[in-house]
Amino acid sequence: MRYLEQKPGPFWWTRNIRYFIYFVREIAGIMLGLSTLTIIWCLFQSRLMSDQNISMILETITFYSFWIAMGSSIIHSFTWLHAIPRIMPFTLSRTGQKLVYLILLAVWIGLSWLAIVTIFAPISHA
Amino acid sequence: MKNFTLKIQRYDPETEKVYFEEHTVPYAKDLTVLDALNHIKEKTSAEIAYRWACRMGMCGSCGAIVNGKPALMCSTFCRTLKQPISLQPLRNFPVIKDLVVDTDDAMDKFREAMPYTEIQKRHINEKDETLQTPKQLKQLKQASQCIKCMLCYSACPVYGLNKDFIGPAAGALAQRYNKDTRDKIKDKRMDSVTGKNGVYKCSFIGECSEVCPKSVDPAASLQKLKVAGMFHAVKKTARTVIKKHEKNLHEIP
Amino acid sequence: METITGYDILIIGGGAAGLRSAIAAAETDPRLKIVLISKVYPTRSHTVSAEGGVAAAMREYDSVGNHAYDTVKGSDFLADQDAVEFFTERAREEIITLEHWGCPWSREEDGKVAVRAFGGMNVKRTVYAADKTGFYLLHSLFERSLLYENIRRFDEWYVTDLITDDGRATGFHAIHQKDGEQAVFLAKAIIIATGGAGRAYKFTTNSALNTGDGLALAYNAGAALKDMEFVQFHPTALAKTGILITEAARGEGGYLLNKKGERFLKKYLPKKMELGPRDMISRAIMNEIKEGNGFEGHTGPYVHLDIRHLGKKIIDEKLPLIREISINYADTDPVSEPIAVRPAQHYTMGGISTGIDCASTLPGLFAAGESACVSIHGANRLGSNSLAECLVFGAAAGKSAAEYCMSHHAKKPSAPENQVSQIEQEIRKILATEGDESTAIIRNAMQKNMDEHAGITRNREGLTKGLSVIKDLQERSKHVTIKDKSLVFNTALTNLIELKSMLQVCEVLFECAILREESRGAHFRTDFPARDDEKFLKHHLALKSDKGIEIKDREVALTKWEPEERKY
Repeated sequence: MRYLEQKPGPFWWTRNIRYFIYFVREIAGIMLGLSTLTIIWCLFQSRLMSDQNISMILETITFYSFWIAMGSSIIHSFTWLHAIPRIMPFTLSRTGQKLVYLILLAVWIGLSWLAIVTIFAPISHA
Repeated sequence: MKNFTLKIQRYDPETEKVYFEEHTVPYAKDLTVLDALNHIKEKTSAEIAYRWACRMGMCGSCGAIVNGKPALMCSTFCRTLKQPISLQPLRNFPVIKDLVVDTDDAMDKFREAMPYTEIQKRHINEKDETLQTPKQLKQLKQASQCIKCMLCYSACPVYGLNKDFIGPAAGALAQRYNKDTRDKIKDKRMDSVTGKNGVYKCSFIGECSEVCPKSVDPAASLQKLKVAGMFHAVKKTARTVIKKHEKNLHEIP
Repeated sequence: METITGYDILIIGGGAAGLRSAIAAAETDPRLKIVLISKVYPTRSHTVSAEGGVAAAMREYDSVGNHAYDTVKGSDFLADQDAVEFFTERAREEIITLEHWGCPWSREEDGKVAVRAFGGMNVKRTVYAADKTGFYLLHSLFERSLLYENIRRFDEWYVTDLITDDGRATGFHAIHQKDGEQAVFLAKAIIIATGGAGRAYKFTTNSALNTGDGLALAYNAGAALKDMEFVQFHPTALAKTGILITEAARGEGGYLLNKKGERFLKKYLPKKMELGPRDMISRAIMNEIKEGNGFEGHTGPYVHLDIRHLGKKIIDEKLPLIREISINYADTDPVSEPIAVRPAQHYTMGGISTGIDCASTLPGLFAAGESACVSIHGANRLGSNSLAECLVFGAAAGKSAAEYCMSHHAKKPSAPENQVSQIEQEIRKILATEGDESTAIIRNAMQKNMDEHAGITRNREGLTKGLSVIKDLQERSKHVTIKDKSLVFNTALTNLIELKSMLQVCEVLFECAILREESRGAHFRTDFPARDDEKFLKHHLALKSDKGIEIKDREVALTKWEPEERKY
């Protein structure tokens, strides 16, 4: 006599959309870390290398890593902001949670735009 | 008005065989999956094994995977489901037979939540009740709705991969007692739930709250416990530091 | 087969009474080792469906004597008044204790435990927790029971027979559903808290678990059952499924309306109206339906329970569960429509005969809760007295069993060898039977028979016919084939054993009902419509004997109140 073991396999996250979104959130976090490390590594290497070809390869890697980092950070921010209303010390209804999420999104986008305009744009112009 | 077709996963522990059976049940507007299953058991397969008791969504016995999602069979109506209706035992638990799974391990997790207001094991001889306003009572209302049906443990991949994880329902239970104004052992409970395999193992996937039939939102409870755990750790460290400092002061000759 | 000794008290049944007795015994002496065995996890017990509340004399405008009088009058003066006084004296204490243990009773604005009106009660004395009192109570008790290391739970073990030695109950035989293992448990004291036998009826509020297991266990072991003829029908159950709509709906001010839209109870209970005792209201509803004033539907005849005038706020605050249930199972939102209801079997007043100390007539065997009959409910139970009974007598049973253990420590419990082998053989025989009967068919026939002949109104012809049907079904139940030969979660086997228990209980019920030639409380006979205090102010005790069922009389304990006419 034996019980039938039921364990989630390695592809448990393909079962439904919510699991998938969680998986994407976590992968985005990993990709963000990996791509940032790649960029930093490339920056260090480019100081040491003076070879034109290697320099170009490093530039390309940096370029694509930047976009991966950007995409990952957006996905990660969106999904984490979505989770914030749930951890408040007070209980919110479903609509209340959606409202808080949208407010947080708006604040985040607003702050990001401000940062671009006041910090990064002047630097790039200079 | 077409008849309902049910595809039920059977498992025989003696022969260790998994097989599927298809049955048809006559249409009725308010036929629940449990009603259909009872009909099948009466008319054709008297041996099919499944749990049920109250048939009104209060006892939590009849959890199963209905069309891929964990649900209470007595509260799910056949007319809302895509045909053929597939019935499988709850995931993440070993199957004893047919739709019956072994939930002993998950049931034991409630002990870790220390679900009592004090640890004195005695008959209370107080003359009157502790006063608690309706507003204070409302604090614990949502988390106290849990019927311990184990659907959330079936939905939680963390529990599926690590059986030592405290789990959603135990987390909700701990939160329910933390929020109760009559509780006296919050510190001990926080020590218990924030230990190894405690609330910090939760990855906030959120599927538990999706499948909960009583809208307990165990995911929210677990995250709140994580935040509370943080404050608890700070308080504890502060206390130990202060105590050590006092001890040192006393040791000065 | 394993023999499990080393425990002092065995408790069969994990509902409110079982858990409360386990906790009480564990508190009485922390050295006692207690077993809590149940055929399901304790939180699945039928207590969880209870909705209304727990009655006690909580406030200054109330008194223990008042509560006792209401209970005795509600019982149609068949209740043992010393037991009722014992009960009402301790009900408040139990509620306060539960409150300290964390049970979330609903509150008044000032923070005190709230009370509401209930049927048959003269003043507001029913403590409640929204309208899921049983759920909160059961879970509070279960969670509290996790605190005591000396309570060892054996979940999903099916107890098949009690074991007796030398005229004492010494243990039982049980099958572990999870792995098919059989074991014999032996101990000095055994408490039965397995609930009633509502599933013997077709239209019932009871869950699948209420199959009279404990009653049959006790009866077959030689303990006496008392007042089995009294079965309560709850006036308001959903017309199709039989799911309970709590009396609290009427307690908060709901109306019962017939086809003409009138509150017909003014014809039967002019003073109390919807807050009358359950037996009278059930009879009133059935009468209205008989006279053609009921609605007709595909679910059968029904009347309306109207709570629309209470308003959404009160319904969501005090009656949220019944709103959820009506919407889900009856497609009716009580905020805007009246609910279709009809009386359904609800409670078994009869049970294992016990005294105030919860000891049955078989030494070593105790009982508490619905499976026991002390009797405090007599011929009719008032709403919210059952949960209170589970708490008060659960605690009493735990204490009594603990004291019994400590006084009988010299005698080691044993099981006669031939008894155990007989039990094993019987199970093997059941599994090996090759017949052409089906458990489901016999069970349906029994339920139909009980609804028809042992229902709200009875007569000699119906009762005699009912008894002969039961006897025939008992014979047929010996020829059921069970295709599943293993003992692992063999629901076909446990269903058959449950069926046999129910048939046994029904047989006793009919025998006692035939003998009681009067109408008292829930036992209403059209051929004897009046109450007869001269001949029938007594309890019926049923014992198993070689000749079948032996029925003895027992006096009712009258301490304070003389029987009077029961008018509401």
